Amino acid sequence: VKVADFMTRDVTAVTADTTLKEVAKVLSRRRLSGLPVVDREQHVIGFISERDLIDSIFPGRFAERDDIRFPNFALIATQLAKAGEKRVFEYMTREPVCIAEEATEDDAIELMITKDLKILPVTREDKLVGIVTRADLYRALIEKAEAEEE
Amino acid sequence: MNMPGGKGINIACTLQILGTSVVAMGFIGGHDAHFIEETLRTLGLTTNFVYIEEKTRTNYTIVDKRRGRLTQILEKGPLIKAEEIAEFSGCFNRILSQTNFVVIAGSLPPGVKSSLISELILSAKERGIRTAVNVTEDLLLEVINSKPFLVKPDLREANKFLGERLSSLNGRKRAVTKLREWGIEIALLSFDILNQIVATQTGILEARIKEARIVNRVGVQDAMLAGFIHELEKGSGTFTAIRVGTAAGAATATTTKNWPESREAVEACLEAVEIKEV
Repeated sequence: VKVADFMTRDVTAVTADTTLKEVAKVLSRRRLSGLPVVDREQHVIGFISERDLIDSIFPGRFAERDDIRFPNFALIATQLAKAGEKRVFEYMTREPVCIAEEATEDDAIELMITKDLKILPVTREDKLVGIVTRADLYRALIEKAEAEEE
Repeated sequence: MNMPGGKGINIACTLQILGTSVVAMGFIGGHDAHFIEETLRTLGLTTNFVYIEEKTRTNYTIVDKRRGRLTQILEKGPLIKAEEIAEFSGCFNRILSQTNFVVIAGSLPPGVKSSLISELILSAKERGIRTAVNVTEDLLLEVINSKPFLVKPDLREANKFLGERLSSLNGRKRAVTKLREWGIEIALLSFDILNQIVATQTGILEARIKEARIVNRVGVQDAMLAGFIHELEKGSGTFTAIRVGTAAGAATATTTKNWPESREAVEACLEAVEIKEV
């Protein structure tokens, strides 16, 4: 099974000069945990995640522990207002892990597990053509298991 | 039946069903946004919508099969904010790098000016990408100066276009000829629900359906445009393009969906299309 057969065909992305406030809005409205960052020609040049947003508000907190708790939401709002005008290029992961649409399901599984990724941008000639989410992978695996049972 | 709709979506879905890969773009919001995207992706389309603060409108179509009557209740579209328009323009310009043809269709929601359409046409033109525009007559006249490659006015129940009566062949010919004189490469007009006329550099063709079974009118004109563009993009000539477009419209008219059931359903209608030079 190729990645193109089970990926989510959505090319929502932001650019490096997008503000973090805009990113937070897109993530929240689309119920996503991260977004590819693209250049003017839709080449994938980075990835910005909700974790990067939190890191912009509370630098270094994720370095201490994987699980992070916020007892004071008012503080988060205040800090986010301050950090919101910062730009994506300051916090994005550069040269992010991507996968070609012609790659296999096994390649995608290996990358997502070994690199601990929730979203994997899919490319054709380095341009964004979709994403693979963990839900996409589970769905593909279930379909594969059911096909083998039959 | 609950389904995504609107001219842009209907055209996009028909194109995809016929085998042309499509990226669907526009403004969506609220609870239905995810439903719209999921439905389109299930058909194989790629989505690139801007999520807006307000919610996408819901339109209702009531089909009275016994009397052959169709009633539509259309909500007002959501307000689009300036920053949402800017986000859309950014997405549009980026996606042009992966695009061969652009179709701009539908009404302008509150907050969006006609100048946006002109900007989109010109951006595409700068990259050598052809554009088709399918909007109302008033809106078309506002953007005609940007000279899109193909124009198909959204006429609905109108029996006149540019002051010409569409019930007469001469009126239809004058209407498409005027569009050509304004610098439009391909002028396409639908009339009597399932028939259409096209003017190009090589002449004027009229396509009619010999026998038609009309269950539904929603999406019919959109499918006609999609079928035409699908063939053009394959490299076919105007004759084949208007034939497939007319068949796509006829195939849509036989379903309760806003687009044809399948490519095979469109092919099955090809025999019923009659074309003549006028």
